Amino acid sequence: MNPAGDDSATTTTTTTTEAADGDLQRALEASLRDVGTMSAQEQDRLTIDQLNDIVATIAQEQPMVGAKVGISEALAAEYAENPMKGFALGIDILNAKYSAMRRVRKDGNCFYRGFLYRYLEALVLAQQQQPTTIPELVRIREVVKGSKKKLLDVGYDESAMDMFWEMFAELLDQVPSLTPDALHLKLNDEQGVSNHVVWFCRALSATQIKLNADRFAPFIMGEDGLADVDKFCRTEVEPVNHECEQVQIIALTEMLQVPVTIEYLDASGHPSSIVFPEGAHPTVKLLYRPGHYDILYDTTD
Amino acid sequence: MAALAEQGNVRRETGNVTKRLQKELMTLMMEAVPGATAFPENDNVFSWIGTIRGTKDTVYDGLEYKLSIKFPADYPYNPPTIKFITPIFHPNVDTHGNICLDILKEKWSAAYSVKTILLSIQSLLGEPNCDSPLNTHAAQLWEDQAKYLTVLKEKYAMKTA
Repeated sequence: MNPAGDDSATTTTTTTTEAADGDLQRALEASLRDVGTMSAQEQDRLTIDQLNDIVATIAQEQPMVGAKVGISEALAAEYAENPMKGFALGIDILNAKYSAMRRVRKDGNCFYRGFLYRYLEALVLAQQQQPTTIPELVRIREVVKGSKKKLLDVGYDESAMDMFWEMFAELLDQVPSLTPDALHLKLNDEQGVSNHVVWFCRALSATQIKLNADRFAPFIMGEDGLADVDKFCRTEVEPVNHECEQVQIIALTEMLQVPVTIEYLDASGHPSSIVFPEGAHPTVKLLYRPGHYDILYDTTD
Repeated sequence: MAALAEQGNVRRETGNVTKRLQKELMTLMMEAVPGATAFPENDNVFSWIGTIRGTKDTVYDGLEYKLSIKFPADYPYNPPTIKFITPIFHPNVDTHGNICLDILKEKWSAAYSVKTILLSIQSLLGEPNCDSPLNTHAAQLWEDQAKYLTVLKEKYAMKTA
């Protein structure tokens, strides 16, 4: 299921802000190894404190979604010291294909956050050009409206889900009155709806997986050869700040019927792109580097 | 102006959380979850007191414990802080009432509610995780259920006296 699997992360850096999302978990595991002589209780408390610290530090140092920046100006410096020259080659290729990117906070929500941001931004931009409600906005409102029944059908508590569902629907209702700048502020507001609508994407993804358990089962098989869909959703999709793999991506694009292109940059020197679903022409394009997603803009955007 | 706008956001957010908590409270009262109750403490909807009763076929059968439940301003994106108020002898609860339960920490999902949390804690009573104990004495004793029950009853009687 790779290349988009977060588990394939190969970075070994442990500094928080430059670290990929996967490093959050690795830092925790390392901290646990270091404190082998402590009591379980002390270890547990330390781990939780450390997790909270890392999340808080990332939140302070990096906005949820950054400003638009040029591809090479953003990436070249980052890989200047990297001995694997494939990255530099790959950046040149991406630079010819894309005009800009936005960095997304490395807190484990990057796929959902980047996907949602870019989709809503494109929606706002398209709506600004038109005097009447654009068909895509009408369509997505219907999808979200219909999602409520699906969420309840797969067993989510109505009292637990209503708030998320309402916040998402309300945000879509606001699209005609929003500018891209206003949307940017809204989705970067730590106290606002941003984290909640991002989490709602997790619920939508989990719901699609549960509704199509037979189809998704082969991709979520555990080491024991069994596919426990509910457990997968509980441990890999729903937990706040848990990274996203390809299964979740496929599920979310299916649920919302919003396609996505993922550009995969690694040391090979040949960035490869994957479109979900195959054959679609997505507006939402994301850059994947092992363990992390950012937003990409076409030269025509 | 910026400060005012920010205040407005916080208020609106808090309003959403309040609404969510009121819904949860309503659900809890209508559904009458066996062996678990929760209700706001005083007039503060962000601070509740819960009770759970041990289920049948476990050593905790019939024992009742009070818990404090404090909700953060960004609940349910982040989990509530839950502690036992009634002291409890249990492998995964420390002497301050802190609970070691993954769904309250790194496995927290915003799909959980007070109801699911209370039910999870209730089942933790009868199915402790003795591999990572907060109370090593309780964890060591767990294998010998008869002895465990004796100590448990002693401690329970002492604490509720």
